[in-house]
Amino acid sequence: MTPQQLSYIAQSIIACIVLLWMLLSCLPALRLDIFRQQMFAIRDELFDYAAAGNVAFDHPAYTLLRKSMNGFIRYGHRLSFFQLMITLCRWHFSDEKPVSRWQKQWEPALATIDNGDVKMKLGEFHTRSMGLVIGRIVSGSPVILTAIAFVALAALCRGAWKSTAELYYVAAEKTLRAFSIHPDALEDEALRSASHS
Amino acid sequence: MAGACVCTWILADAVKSFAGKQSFADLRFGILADIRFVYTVSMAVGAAGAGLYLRERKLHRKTRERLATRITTLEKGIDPARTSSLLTSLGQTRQEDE
Repeated sequence: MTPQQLSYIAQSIIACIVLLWMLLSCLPALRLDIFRQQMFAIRDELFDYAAAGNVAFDHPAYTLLRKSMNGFIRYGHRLSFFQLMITLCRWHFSDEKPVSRWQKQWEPALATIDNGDVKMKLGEFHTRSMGLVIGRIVSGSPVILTAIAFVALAALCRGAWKSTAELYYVAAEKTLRAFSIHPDALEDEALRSASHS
Repeated sequence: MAGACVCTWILADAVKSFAGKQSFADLRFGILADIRFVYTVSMAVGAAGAGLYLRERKLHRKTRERLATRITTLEKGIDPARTSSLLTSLGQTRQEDE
């Protein structure tokens, strides 16, 4: 082996190590930072909305939303398809079952708000935060991305879509439901996580 | 489409003028075709990109630390019962939450 060939091999190994470091360390860290940054932005908007006098800081709907966002920010690193599958398997095979706290608390909390605009706005904050969570789970999993591509293709063939964004969301929701991942279960986990200090 | 056709025509015209002539252009094409040169440039650009990313990330964390404390203090003045996401002051996951 000539010194030139040895040099090429060394350079290739270094390049591969750097590439792996970027893919396995930098990219996940960047994705997590982006997710947290976007969730912080929604939480700040919610705070400003409450500070403007639209909803009280001690209102159950506000505290629930804030708690769930805090939970997602704190445990954002665990929001992955792999982790979700482990949790679902744990629920399936053990006596530990998910406690449905979110629906039990969220609907009655919203019902106490008389102003329809405020109710709609709080619902919008909730939808946006869940959109981020689903986006993080979907974009981090090649398995789900492939499944979504097939579901989207089927929807495309049927012509049952109005826009590309709608096609993506419908496909993502259908795929997640096919994997038994329900948004309410994610909320329950976030609430449970936020309760631990 | 028309723009692409015009570009192709201009490029073809430029290449035609080099046909059969020895010039500095040969040297330039030679350097660009040298795989080692291209490889070294790629490595240098990659390393510079990674270095800049790390530096920017460090600065971003420092900014987060500086602003988060200020925002928390101001928001606590409005809502004393304000709850936190419990990340570190640098905006990272706490060790016990890993």
